[in-house]
Amino acid sequence: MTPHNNPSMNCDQVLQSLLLFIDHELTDPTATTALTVHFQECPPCNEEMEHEQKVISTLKSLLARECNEPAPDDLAAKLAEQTAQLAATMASQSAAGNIFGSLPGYIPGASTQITTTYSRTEVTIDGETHVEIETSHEIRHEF
Amino acid sequence: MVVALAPMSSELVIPDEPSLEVDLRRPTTPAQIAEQKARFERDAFQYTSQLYSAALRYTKNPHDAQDLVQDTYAKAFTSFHQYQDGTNLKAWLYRILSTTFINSYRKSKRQPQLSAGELEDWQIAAAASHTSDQGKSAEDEVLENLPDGDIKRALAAIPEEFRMAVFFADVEGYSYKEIADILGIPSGTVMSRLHRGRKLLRELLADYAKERGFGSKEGQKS
Repeated sequence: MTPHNNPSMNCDQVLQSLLLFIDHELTDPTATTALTVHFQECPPCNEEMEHEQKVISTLKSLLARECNEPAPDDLAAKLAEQTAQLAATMASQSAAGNIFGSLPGYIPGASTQITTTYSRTEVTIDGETHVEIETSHEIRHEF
Repeated sequence: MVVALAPMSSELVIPDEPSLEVDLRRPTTPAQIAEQKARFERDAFQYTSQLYSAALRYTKNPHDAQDLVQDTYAKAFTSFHQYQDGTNLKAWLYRILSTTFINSYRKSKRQPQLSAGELEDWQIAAAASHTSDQGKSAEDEVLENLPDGDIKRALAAIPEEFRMAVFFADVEGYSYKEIADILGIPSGTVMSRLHRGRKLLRELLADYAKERGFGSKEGQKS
């Protein structure tokens, strides 16, 4: 085939962008326009584009026909059971208190939540004197 | 692992592993958990078959595919509070499925990975010059006479990275950007894998046709 010498875009550039054009993935509108103009003026490139388009479209319909296996009949029941079990685990973990329940002062159903944190810091001075600093913070949440 | 207050900026927010540990956004009251369960069943269960089909492409056998789908739904449910309403739920599920496969199934089976250089040759994979009329009609003939099962066999035969790019683009119809989000790779890599994948697929289909003697007088009889 004779390369087409369009001043704005040559055949090599067109062929390199061909699949992006077919997949509608060219982000620059001027590139799409330049390719469209080139296809109108260059029969070999236009034929190439039409052939690629046809092949890809055929591949898509063949793939869609053969690669859409339905899920096995028992999968839906398994997923429902699994989800119910996970929900139960989440509920029991919450009840056991991974979040608020584990904090001291929490009284289920009460309108005030009291969070108390304790900390103890040991400081050594000159390798001899030990000082212990004990602090506690109480945070009250009113609901 | 604690997944707390994960970033909400990207469209698909996927944790590495399912976690029942403390997450401040996780539902805690029985009513919240029941609500999440009902919403999950209503919105996510409708994609079971599509996820199973993708899982079959990954695992290549029904037993592992079913396990992979179950694992995916387990992770998705325990992370469902991270899913952003209004974004693409099916793509979010596909991403969990892909991540699960790559992190668990593929590791255990030690499947070969792509070698370096996959990114550079997409232009070569695309048409580098005008195809001859003879080449075009030969390919048309192969595709028009393709027996059932050939395309599935060819897709299963190409390397996983190319296979899944072709699956998400040509079966599911996702854009390069959407596939990039699902697979967690750059869009340029999606383009490279998709183009290379389609090329490999076409070459294999031509090979199968040759094996059957397609095009020769003897082959036409068989």
